[in-house]
Amino acid sequence: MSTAITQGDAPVAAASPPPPKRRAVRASSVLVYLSPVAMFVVLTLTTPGVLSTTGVMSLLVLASVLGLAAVGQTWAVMIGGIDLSIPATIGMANVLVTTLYAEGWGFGRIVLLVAVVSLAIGTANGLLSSLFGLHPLVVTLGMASLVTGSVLVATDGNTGGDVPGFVTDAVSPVGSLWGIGVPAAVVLWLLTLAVVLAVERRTVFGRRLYALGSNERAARLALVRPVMIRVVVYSVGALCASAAGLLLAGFSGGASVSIGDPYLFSTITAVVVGGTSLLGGAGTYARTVAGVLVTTMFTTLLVGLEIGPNMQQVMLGIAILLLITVYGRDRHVAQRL
Amino acid sequence: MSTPPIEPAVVELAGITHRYGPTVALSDCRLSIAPGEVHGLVGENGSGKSTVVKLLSGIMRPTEGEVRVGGRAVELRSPAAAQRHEIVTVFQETLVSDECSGIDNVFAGTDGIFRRARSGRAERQAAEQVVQSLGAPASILQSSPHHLSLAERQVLTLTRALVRPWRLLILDEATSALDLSTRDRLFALLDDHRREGRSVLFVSHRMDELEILIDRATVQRSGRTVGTVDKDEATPARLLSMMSGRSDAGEHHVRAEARARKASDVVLRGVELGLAAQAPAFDLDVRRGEILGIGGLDGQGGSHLVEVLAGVRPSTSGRVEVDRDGSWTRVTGYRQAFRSGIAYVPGKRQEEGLFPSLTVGDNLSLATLPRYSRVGVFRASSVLARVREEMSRLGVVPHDPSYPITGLSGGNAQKVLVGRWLAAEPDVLILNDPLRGVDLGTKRDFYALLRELTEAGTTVVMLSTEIEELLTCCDRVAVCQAERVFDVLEGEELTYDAVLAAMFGRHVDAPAGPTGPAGPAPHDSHDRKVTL
Repeated sequence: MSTAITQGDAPVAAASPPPPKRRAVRASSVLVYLSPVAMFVVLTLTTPGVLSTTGVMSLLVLASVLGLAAVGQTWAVMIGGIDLSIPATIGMANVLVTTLYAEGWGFGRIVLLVAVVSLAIGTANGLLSSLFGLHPLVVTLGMASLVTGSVLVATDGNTGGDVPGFVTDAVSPVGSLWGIGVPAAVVLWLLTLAVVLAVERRTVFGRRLYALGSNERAARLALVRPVMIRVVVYSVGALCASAAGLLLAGFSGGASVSIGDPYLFSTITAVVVGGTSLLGGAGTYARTVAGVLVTTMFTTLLVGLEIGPNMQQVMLGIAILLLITVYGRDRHVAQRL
Repeated sequence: MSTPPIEPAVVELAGITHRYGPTVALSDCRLSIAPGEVHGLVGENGSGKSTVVKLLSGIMRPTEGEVRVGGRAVELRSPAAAQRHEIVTVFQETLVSDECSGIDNVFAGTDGIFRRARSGRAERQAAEQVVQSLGAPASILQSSPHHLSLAERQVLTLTRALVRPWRLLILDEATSALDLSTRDRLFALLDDHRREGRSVLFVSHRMDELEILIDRATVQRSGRTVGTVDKDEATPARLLSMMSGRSDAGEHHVRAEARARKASDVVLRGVELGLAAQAPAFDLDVRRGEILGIGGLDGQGGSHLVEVLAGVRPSTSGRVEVDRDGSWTRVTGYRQAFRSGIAYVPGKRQEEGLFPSLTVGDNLSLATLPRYSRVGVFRASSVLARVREEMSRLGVVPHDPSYPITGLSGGNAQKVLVGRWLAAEPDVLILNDPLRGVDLGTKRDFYALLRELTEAGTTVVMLSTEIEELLTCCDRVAVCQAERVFDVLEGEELTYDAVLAAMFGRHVDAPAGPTGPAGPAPHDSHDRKVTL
């Protein structure tokens, strides 16, 4: 075929700039993935007892819970939104599991119910933020209030309850699944990680998710259905948050509707520390995993240094503001190109 | 050419040059508006008309040259400064806010933050008087503009200008949304003002309006002032020839051989299409394997037409149908249109086309990924192969699918966008002004590519606002004017002058030979559905 391929067209060739940007991106992602390693070194040097199987496993269990909670936050941010209903969903799952189990429900039935409720929360988030042009910030905040309120109404504010033994085992640092010496919580997180990354990288849905976050108008014209993407994103997020709520029940053994509260701040921290832009269209859950590990170790470090929870919050706040400043500037440079 | 008036001009532009970065928008522009005259300003897209308007209304300041008001050089630093010199401008439907009432829109900006410039009562009376003299009910001042028709909104914007003290009123395409009776009332009103010594700069695409209203006209071409003519000289034919810069009918460009397509072999058609509420309906046939150009000045319906054909925008009336294996299927939306073999390349690259945070490869493959997928999982190697194939066919530089799309030049980014839809192998490819702001080399590549596509059986519909471009690559050209297809030109009739005339709502006389009297040319070709 003798098409007009004027590839060597001088003005065009001159107009296309050299690709320095990609190298910069690569360098910064290397830093992101190296930061958990650096953090671990700092932690082992300052906090005795971390460098042991139990120490590492307890870190990983904590990271698993945060990691599961942060799946939804990462994807919500990637489509240019945010999910403030994650703590409420965690609380919902936590309360349903403990109270219903205490009432004698079978575990399978409980999981099914929690899954259905999660899907309903996610679907409502997705539909409301698409159909009425509402900002997800407002929608998910309202949803959080609705979910927490409903749980309190349904349980009459009763706390208490019980969990099956294997849930407690799942989050125990010395727990082990199928004899491989890794707690079930960690295995669950790794499986989720594999699926989430595969979806991001290898599926049509994943590409459309990035496209929606990058330019909604263009995405529509390129045959992406924003409603469908949003519903799936918020539903997957709610399912993973429920899994986190279930695992948290294993720690306490009792019901607490507010058990998820710290996860609003920490999921956003993990996403930002991982370097996923809050403007949407870029990032990956892999970066959030790095963010989750750093955040978990940072908190452990502060505890080890006997810094109280209030001061911890101050430190985390400073850390996140610093990071946003750094990444925020990065993004502006990118947009100028 | 006219003799300069003896009394000092109300407003004068002397040797104005204006640059946007390296682009010269206006070069040595001279314009002088006498007291008590209606001065027409005409030209094609890109002739510098809107730059003149922006300079006079204080939106921009000239790079070189002087703006004189009443003979004195002034600097119009802001719209407020222009208003202090009693220059007011009416743009095409621009209201301050949909949230405020009509009256608040009319007076927005006349009062300070803490002080009201007039009493509410005087305000209302002045505004009501203007609104009623334009034949609209005074009630539109009370309602929220949200509920008003386009024409009523335009009455509000006119009122907004007319209640202010003014010596020069600039009407920038401000009549296009008005119905005929309102327009006539406006013209009568302007006549009164003219007798009181006030002046009007009238920017319009409509030759009939210019003919009725103006005393003199200044013609712009490619940023230069061609000249100013008096009323008796300012015939449509004269103005058009000044705009195009050709007095002869000869063709100054090299044109590819236009191929006649069978008029009966129609692949896509618009039946009794209406593009806007008051616009007349028209039919349009797109023939298999042709390149149909859609021409027209900005805002005259061309962009609406391609969007309607692609199913992106619903038509106000009528329907679009596509040929699906011998039977006509109605186009109801762009997803359904896509399934019926129509691909649409949107116009505004940045807003409607590109995904800035994705790579070239992802940008190109997004719409066709499902074709390389099983249960939602795509085969990366097949996708990449297809991306590379399209990139080399289109000559995207650099030839690297993992390159960030933001790193490409405008022309290369446009190639990627076209590639996204070429990869779908559509029967009909609809392009919304694909070559705006694209370098010449890329344009040449595109012309060849479109030819090659049609040879392979694809039908192309392409919007362009540049006449040269339409002549260079299209077999037929449908020219839009006032939200309808004014004329479809092909063969011998497809000349620069004919397209230009149609853009301004005129039929050009047959180029050679006395085939008919002046006025609308007789049309015998059955697919020319002309409504005047």
